[in-house]
Amino acid sequence: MIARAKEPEPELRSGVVLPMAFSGDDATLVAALREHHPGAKAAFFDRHAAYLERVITRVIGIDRDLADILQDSFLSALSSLHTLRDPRALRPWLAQIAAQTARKVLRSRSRRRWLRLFVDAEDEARWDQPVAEHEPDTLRALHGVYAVLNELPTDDRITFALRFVEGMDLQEVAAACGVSLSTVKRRLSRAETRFRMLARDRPELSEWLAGGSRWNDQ
Amino acid sequence: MERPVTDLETLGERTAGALDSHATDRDRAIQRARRGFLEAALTPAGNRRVVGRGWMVAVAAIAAAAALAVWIRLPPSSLAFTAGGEKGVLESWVAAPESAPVPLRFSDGSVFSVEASSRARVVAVEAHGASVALETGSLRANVVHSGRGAWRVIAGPLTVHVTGTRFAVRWSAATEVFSVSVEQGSVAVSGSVVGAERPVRAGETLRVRVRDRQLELTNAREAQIQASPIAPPVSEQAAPDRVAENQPSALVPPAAPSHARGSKPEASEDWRPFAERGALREAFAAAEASGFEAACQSASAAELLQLGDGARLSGRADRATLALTTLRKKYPSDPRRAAAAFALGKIAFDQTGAFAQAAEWFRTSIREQPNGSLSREAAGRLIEALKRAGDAAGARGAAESYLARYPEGPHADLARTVVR
Repeated sequence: MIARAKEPEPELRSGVVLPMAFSGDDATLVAALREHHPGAKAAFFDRHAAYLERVITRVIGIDRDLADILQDSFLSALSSLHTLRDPRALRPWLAQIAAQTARKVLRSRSRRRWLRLFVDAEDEARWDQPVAEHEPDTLRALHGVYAVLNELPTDDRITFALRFVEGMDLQEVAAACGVSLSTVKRRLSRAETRFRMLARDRPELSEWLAGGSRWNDQ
Repeated sequence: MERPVTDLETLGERTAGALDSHATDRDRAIQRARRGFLEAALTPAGNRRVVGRGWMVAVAAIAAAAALAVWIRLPPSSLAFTAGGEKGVLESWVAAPESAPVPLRFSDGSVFSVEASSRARVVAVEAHGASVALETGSLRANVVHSGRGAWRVIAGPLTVHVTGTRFAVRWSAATEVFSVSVEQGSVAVSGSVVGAERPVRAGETLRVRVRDRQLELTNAREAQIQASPIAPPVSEQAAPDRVAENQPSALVPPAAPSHARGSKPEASEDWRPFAERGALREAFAAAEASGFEAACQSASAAELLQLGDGARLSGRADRATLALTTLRKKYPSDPRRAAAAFALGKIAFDQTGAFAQAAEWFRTSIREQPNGSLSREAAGRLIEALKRAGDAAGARGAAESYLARYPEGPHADLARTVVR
């Protein structure tokens, strides 16, 4: 399924050559993972890492712990592969895994913030990224978006990020969050209202919020 | 029909663009995650990092471990090995030439000989054993018995568990035929068709035809045949253990004409439990055994997709096409129609070489679900299909659309070469 250029046959000396890439579509990949096919783990990561990284980053923002969070997402996916009913739906299932992992991270940080007991200066720097005066406007606006998102309840934040930043449709958001469509709509409505209210205090977001007329929900 | 873009959608797009521009450490983070994922043992997911003052806990743990090490013996490090005389590297592809085998020699004295024209790799090494994957061909092993051996040979969907033996394994990925012949000691085989571990003792040969779900255990001295209860009755005596895996065996009766290539589960076995477990090939085989057309007529849209996948994975393009076209006819409003169109495109491209038809299916899939989870892949495959169909203008148009929408997508490199 993934187009891979055919690699030229390497010259054999003692007969040992470099690893050959796994080839096959997602259904074949899932079967290979379940059968512990060598090379399947690496192929699984290589094929889907960019997507999971994107989903995680859309929800959490730029984060120094991205490597750990991404690794945790893949380990979580591998350990729960038996719950994947339709191997064709690997990609949306992985979105759900990524969203769940991001949710755990956000809730954990939210609890620590509230407790303020075990957060040291390094942690503060990791999570709260102050905006420097000299930073470009886009970076300031980006910080502003995630500062506002930090103020939303975790589930509303995830719904908002998947819908507007990642661009998923409502069905896809519902699947990624593991909830019903009506729950997504409720969360989204709350998130939109609160986001707009908080964004009013952030002039760096004013240009980004300029847009067309309101879409009438159907 | 186009609709107005909202202010939040605009903000979302700009946020996404800014993330892509400013996430400068993304590649390094992905590489770090890759290393960690491939090296990690399978543990429950969770945040394993030490946060805040937890570094003090880590220091204390290290000190405690150091203290314990004074009292307990730490386990030995993993075995080392060479491949063809050179230092062995995990996951390296070992390709034996036509004229000679390539030996894998382990530091405990065990030797696995990758026979001429065969392919294998060492996928794991521990203190008392290793796992060797036989990709295709044959492998002769002489494993030193240590009492704590943890050796495995993985051949397709089967695993040979070894404690201290001399044996030979053959596996053909093309015909999906496996055999293990034990000269000394014993092994245990588990996996597809065989199920839980089945012992194979000195002088015995176990042969498994995965596609036909048949297995045979032969004994060179007694010349007995034990057929799998799944297989039809065998009418001839076994030959001694030198069985050529690519030649039709006199022991295997011809398959029944109406299910010439499918597996043979029990006739009354419902296919749905297999599908629910994700065992799509088995689901297809069960549906084929009990009547594939009837199974398609009673299946839901989701089940038809599963039957289609199972048929496709089993090499039955005709059955896959039946399941998927049935889905599209019976469920005209179901969103899975687009996924079925995509799958039909893949069948046309991958299995029948009908590239123009494949392109039409990919276009249909995109048209029916332009923002679906498969739309990006369909857009990429469309470029390939049009290119292979000789439609240069069409391929160029598809490539330009792809790059506009998915500039960093997996087919972006292909699209750029088409557009140039």
